[in-house]
Amino acid sequence: MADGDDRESSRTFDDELERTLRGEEPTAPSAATAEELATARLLASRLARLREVPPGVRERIWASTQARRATEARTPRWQRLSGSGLAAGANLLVAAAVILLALQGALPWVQELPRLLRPGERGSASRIAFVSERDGNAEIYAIEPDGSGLTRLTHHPAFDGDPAWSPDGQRIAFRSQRDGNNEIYVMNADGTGVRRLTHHPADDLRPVWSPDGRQIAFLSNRDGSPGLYVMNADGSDVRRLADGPAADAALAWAYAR
Amino acid sequence: MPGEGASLAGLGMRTRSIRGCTSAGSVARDEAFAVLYERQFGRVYAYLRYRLGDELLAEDMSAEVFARAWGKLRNLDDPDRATAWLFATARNLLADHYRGRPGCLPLSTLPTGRHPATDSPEAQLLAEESLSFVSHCLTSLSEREREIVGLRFVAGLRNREIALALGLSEGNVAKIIHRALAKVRARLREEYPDG
Repeated sequence: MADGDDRESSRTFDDELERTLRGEEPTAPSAATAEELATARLLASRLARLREVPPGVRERIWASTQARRATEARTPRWQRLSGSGLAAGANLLVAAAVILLALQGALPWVQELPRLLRPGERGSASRIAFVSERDGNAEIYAIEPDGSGLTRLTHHPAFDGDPAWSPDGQRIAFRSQRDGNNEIYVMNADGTGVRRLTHHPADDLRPVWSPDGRQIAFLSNRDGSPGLYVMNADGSDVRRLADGPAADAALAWAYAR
Repeated sequence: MPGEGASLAGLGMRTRSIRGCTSAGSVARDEAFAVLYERQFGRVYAYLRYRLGDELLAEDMSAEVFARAWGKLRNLDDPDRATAWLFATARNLLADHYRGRPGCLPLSTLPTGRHPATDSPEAQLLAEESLSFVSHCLTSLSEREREIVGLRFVAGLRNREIALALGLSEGNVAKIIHRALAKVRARLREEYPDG
């Protein structure tokens, strides 16, 4: 059959199907087509519930879309140059400033610029990390305080939990069972660069950053009884500080000296 | 659902650019975007919910699809191409989501489609029975067939839109739909031999 004929017959059936799905009578189908359309009608009626959109969804998706657009001062920076009016002007200014600074040898700072301009990653104060099982198992997510910008940070079938922001908001320490038992890990605020910090067959949990971001305290039963431990932020120099009576104790660093 | 044509003002939508830009071009762009959203959000959401089996995740991913569409708006004038682009984007996000996870379509977790606030218990039960019946029928389909059934019967895309979104020929899409319907019919015959 030629391509054109093929498409023609496909369109005819598609039209019949569309009429059927709208509850109209098919025009004059052959017996075989009629049977097929009857199956289609049954399938469509059984799937009808999935075509309905629950109340509130339209508004929620819209709000979330708008919030993402607002934070989308991200990658398509150069695309926005071709946008209209003030935005384009402002972008040109920023671009010019970037070029000037680069020429003046301010390269390290310029490289930081894109990060500084991204509101979502500005710092821990503007984002909330939390644990959810919405994908079937516990994973760490981050969200803006206004409910926008939901991002999944971990992607692992094992348990991930106990998220803790570093004081500069750049990293998140967390607990994961991805290597078989509870260990402390650290990742960048966007979920990249996951590194394992503890390596012990016992359980390590509840990481908490020191105010200067150089150390992490956590709970562990590595010496046979639950206790409070501290290590450098790179996982080195683990020390036991105190015996902790309960496995669900909460930790807090003092910010005052 | 698509084509409901509810008024944009009814949503209290901000048709002004978020950045406070008020030039004629940006207002027109906002309006074009609101129209696109109004036409398409229901089918995109329904399709993602069908594929993900998770209402919250489907909302989140739908918002991501439309946020990306905003940057592409100039290329989405033609409704067919807009539909194809939105669903191709949705499928890319799904592929990212399911990367590394076997058993792509979560049929066991097809959303119940319940609206507890509005439905009687009987209506909820009927709805669940419908969906478990569908789950049963769909297990006999290949992944591609289930995908296209979702696009045609849940999202309500026409064959030519599916063909554009998937990069197939229309004839090919039609053949896959025929095959899927035949399999569903065979499954029905097994269940109800008396017709």
